[in-house]
Amino acid sequence: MKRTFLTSPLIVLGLWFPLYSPSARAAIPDSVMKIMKERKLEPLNVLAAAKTFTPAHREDEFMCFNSGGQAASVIAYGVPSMRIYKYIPTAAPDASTGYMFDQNSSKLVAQGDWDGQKLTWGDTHHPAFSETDGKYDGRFLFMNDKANPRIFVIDLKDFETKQIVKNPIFMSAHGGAFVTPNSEYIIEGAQYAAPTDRRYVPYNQENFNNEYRGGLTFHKFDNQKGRIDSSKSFTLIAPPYSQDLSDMGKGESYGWSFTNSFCTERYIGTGEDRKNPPFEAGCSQNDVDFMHVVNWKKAEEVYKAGKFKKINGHAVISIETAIKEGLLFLIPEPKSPHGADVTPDGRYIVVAGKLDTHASVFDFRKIKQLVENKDFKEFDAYGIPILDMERVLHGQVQLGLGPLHTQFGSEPGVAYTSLYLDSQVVKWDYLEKKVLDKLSINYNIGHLVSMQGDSMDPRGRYVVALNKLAVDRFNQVGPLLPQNHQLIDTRDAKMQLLYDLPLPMGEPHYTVCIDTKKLDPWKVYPVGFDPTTMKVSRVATARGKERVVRSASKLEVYATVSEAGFFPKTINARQGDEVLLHITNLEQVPDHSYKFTLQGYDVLGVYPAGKTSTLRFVASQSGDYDYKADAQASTFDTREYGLLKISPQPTFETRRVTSQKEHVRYFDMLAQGPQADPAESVLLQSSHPGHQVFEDYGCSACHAFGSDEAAPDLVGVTKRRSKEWLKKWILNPENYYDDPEILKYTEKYGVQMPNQGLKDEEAALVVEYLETLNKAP
Amino acid sequence: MNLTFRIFTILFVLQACSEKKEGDSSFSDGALNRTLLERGLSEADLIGAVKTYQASGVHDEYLGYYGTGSSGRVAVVALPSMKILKFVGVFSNEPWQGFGFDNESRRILRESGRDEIQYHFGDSLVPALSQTAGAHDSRALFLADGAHARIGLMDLSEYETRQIVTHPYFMSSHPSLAVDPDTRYVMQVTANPQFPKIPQSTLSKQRWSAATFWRYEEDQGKPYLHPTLLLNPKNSFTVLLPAGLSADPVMGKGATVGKAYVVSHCFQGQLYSQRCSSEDESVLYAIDWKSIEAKSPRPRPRPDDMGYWTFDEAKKSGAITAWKLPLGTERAIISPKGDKLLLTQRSGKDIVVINLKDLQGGSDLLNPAVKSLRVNLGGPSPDAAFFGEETIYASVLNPGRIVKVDLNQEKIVDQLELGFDPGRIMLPLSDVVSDVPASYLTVANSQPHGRYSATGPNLGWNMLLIDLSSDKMRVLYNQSMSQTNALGGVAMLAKMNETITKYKIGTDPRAGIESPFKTMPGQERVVKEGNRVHMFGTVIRSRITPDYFEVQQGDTVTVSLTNIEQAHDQTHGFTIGTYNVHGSLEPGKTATFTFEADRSGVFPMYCTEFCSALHLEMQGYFLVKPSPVKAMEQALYKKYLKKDTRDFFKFIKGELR
Repeated sequence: MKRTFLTSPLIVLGLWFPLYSPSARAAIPDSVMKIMKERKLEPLNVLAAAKTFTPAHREDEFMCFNSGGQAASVIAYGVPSMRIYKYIPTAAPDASTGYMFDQNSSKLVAQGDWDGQKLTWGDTHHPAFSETDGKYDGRFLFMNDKANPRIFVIDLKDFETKQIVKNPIFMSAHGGAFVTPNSEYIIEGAQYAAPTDRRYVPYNQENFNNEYRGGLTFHKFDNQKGRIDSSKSFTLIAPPYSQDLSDMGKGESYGWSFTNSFCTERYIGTGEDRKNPPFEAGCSQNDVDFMHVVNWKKAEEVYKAGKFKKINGHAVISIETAIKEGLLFLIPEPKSPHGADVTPDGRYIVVAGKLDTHASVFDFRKIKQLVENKDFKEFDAYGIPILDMERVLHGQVQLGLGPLHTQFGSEPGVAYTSLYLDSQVVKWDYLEKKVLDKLSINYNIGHLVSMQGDSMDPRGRYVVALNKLAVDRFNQVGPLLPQNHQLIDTRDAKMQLLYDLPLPMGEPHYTVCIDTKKLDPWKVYPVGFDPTTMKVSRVATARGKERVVRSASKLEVYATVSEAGFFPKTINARQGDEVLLHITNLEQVPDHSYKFTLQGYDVLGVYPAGKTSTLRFVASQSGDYDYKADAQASTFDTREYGLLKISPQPTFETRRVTSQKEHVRYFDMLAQGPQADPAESVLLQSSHPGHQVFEDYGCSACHAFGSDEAAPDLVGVTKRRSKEWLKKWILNPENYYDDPEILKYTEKYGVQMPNQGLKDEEAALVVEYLETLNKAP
Repeated sequence: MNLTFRIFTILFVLQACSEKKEGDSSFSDGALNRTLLERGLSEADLIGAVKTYQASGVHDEYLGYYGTGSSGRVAVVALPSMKILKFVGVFSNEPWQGFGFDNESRRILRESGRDEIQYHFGDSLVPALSQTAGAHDSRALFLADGAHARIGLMDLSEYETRQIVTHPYFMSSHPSLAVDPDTRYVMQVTANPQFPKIPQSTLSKQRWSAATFWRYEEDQGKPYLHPTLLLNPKNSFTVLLPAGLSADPVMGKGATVGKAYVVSHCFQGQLYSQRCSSEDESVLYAIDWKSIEAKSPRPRPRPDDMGYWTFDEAKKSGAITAWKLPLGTERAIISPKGDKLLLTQRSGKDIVVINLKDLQGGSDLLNPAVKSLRVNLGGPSPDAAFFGEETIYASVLNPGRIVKVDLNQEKIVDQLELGFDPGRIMLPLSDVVSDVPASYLTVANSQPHGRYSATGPNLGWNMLLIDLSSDKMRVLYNQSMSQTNALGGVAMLAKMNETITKYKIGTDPRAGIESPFKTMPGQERVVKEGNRVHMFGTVIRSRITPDYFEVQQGDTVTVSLTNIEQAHDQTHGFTIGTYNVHGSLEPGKTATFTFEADRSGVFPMYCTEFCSALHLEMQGYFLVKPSPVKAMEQALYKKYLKKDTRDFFKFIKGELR
């Protein structure tokens, strides 16, 4: 963002004004006073409005990236305008951007499929920026998926997902993504423990303790290529302690990482007889859980020295090795914490347990000293050294009920912590160990974010409260409510609530905000560019080179779209053809984007200027279909159409309807639980109406097309018999039972053709339907 | 502009400094002025800010519902704050709402496909709000999918998609819809003429346009928890029209109740992809649906399909009259009382208003004898809206602006330059008769680049809020509309919309009935029958019951969960990791998930919605015991589908999911 609208004179004025006119009386224009009265606004509201209102053509100060939670996306909004600029799709289809509708993005997403299981959503939790020297560098954003442990790499050049990396050994991973100060590694922590080799291991306490494992995966990031290099990633195995959120050491704690945990009781729930208390009770028995302290720099050396074994092709450092090499240490921490947050200088780690009213501030220097002296208080069940909590604490500060997550301000010692149960944000000083200010929010805040507040360059300035409940804040829109993100001004001693932003889709868990000056995204792609590979596509097409290439049953269409229109204008295909549409947007002007749709065929492509991608479909139904490319720059309805003619192929059509029939039954089966009433059958929508009759009266119980198992093959039957005869035969088969030829069939198949009670017009439809199966192409 | 802006700001500031006027005491520390200075805000900006700002907890005046192009979702926007309250999944999966993930919603989506071609997106512009006696009644919102000729029905009491119907004959439709004042019918028209898929008919050998009237009526089919109105294809009908490119459907009202209008233009034979010129002929079809709804249309090709009227039959029975329109007419917009029709032009500069009374009688042409009112707007007009009977607001190009026209004075009385080409405008309540004064309108802007901090090449549209409350129109707010690549809306007074905040325990909201799988506390169980396993569970803060269950590899697993909470906003989520199972369980809802346990192992399940301080402990385990033989033989997909079929569908579906 090299462009600056607000250049120096204004800023100088801005500084000058309060300095030289400290006692200046405000002059509120009458027009504004009038609106205030009409809209019943308080002066504070007007101030908040002025602090957030951002006219068009003006940069926001910060860009915040939120996890979309179950919506499986990344939500980017501006601060202080609180406008949502983008939903960046990661793991779920997004029809507004065409994500997972073209082959290119579908193939990208297939990187994240799980042992053949296609995944169409994810549970994104914690975004993190790439960093240089502990500061955001604005190049990449990483995002994790808790439900299907994966890391998404998003390039901030175009705000699109570029890579999806599966965790090779975890079955659940909540605590990612967090990044080392020079983006050497992206850490991903397991959550719910499971056998690391994806084996089935019966669920009981003994197995849980001995075979179920958690751990921390260090995904190696190749800063040159801008992609994760899985061949250089490794995992440190940990006990089944439900590892949770992490933070990376920085400054003096560089080379270390800190991860909290919960349910270190290793509680396994109500058990097979369902008699034990539920998880929520069993996981709250102890007074403390364990912060995991990892020397990742040393772990990297251990990995490089080959002291690991491979599971699922991935390097794994065992607990025994970690103990022997001095990689992993535990520190008791208040119960059920959510976040281990390292202060900007790297000296302290703040942990807040949701079930404790205090935030605990640990001093890394004290931790390091005990570790170096091997001065351990005790060892856990696995032999991992436990440090004495009292001896590594800088102190504990009473903050309030349900402290959850901490981020930092720009002034030394200033921290902001969310209080889930008190529904408050507390500003406090972790050096002086005192509370500075509290602000009530609405309601039940989860995480919070201060601007660049988890980096070595925190700005503070604004804090956003990521509230879990909105309840009455907005107009009601049904039982599922938006989340409420509240923007808070932190510049004055007292925090001030500025703005309530409803999140219309998704449930953000964690947010990171970057100075917009650090971002400089593209406005268009170079012509012929494939955004998923960030290279000019092999199938990019130049103006005048539009063509249709046929090979056997594959049709490849090289198409262009521009101000001049969409070419080619007509495409001829045969039913059953696999069609690949390679479309290139030749325009280079921002906003000159196009939306391609093939009507009735579920084919969609969205083309910002310069983009090339491939749309694939099978021409499974015959007929004439129109396609159109909507020019986004045009404000009128589209009048640019093309025509796809699909000529019928009876053999393919037969296969289609019989397969569809089978598929419908399968889906009905799927839709029913064993105790459900049978669901009514789904009608065949796009077939001959006679086919529906054929199905409804059970003709298909015996008759098939292309085979004669229980009754004669019906392909070609209208050539063997006249239509009139067939109709009579269907209506009154008993009239023909003595016919010598019919007797032969009865003998062959062992059954007589029954009278199914079709009506006259229904029999006619069936005959017509049978006739369509004979027609030559 | 940059320089002017700066000078203006400085002047404003200097003026503010010199005036020394006593303001409200809360401003006396100069905080407001300091903020304005620092942020470079002008007085106009401050007015925009205070006109749109809503303090925490203050509700908005209007609720706008926008068709968003291909996203398949409705955007619910509150006015004047311009806060987007919800994107509701209608034509495409939306995992946050669980739409397209639980069996109940998957069924709605699947049944709206055309056999093996299943649809995953939409093409939507202006939705229609249901009305009773010409006023919004807050029952339903109808959204068109132009790309596949579908209509989605969103229930406005719960903001859930309840139904999607698919046109039996046409593959695509116009992305906008209209309703009559009692929502007897929802009107859908074709955009481009097509070869209709009418079996055994010569009609399918040529292109036709069509208007379809979908009957909205009470459905007796299921034991609904409250009376439910749905679209009923059996009592709906289509009227075929000569081939042409048709604009938004228009339903008569007030004086013209029982009639419908279609503007059709620019058809140049079978191949019509060439651009149309302003000289193309436009025709207005007036359809008297009231006169033919009781008569029986053509026999239905399929028993559950709608019937249809051929153009000749309809014309012969007097139900259709065709009127030649001024050259280049693009669209028709009806006045709230239904007696005037406003005609916009694509390349001309005029708008024309005709009195629908004049369309009575025999004349087939809009000849000079038919009185019309013509106002020169100075450029083509993509959209216009009535406010009352005498005022029109229109978006106009070259240069892009909004104009206000007084029909009595037959002239432009106000205009506002925009700096971009405006698209569709939305004036709240302009679709109904209302005495609420003009307040706001929104304008769609398809050129978002440069308006905000940059976020890459692929952007959603932009939307402006314009203040109409004084003589001079004024831009109040620019909103970035992520998730959109088209924008057309309707709005109603927010106080009209009463929504529920929870379901009766055990409700299947997609069908509106009590779920057969409703489970109350203490009834949780796992039922096994052969290779089918059905888990009946409950969720409540902070546990899933049962918190553990095990099946054999190859089993078909159904999980039915009931959220037994009744507290406001206490939604839970549910997932079984890596099995692509996910659901959203609002208070009281029951949802069901069926999948095949084809992979053995240990799979954590948990609540995906942060619900309490012990949310992370709302967990459990699902185990699949290996059984390679069973996996091979019993996996439902393989058991019930022949290999041929499986290969066939794999081929059809490719990488798409």
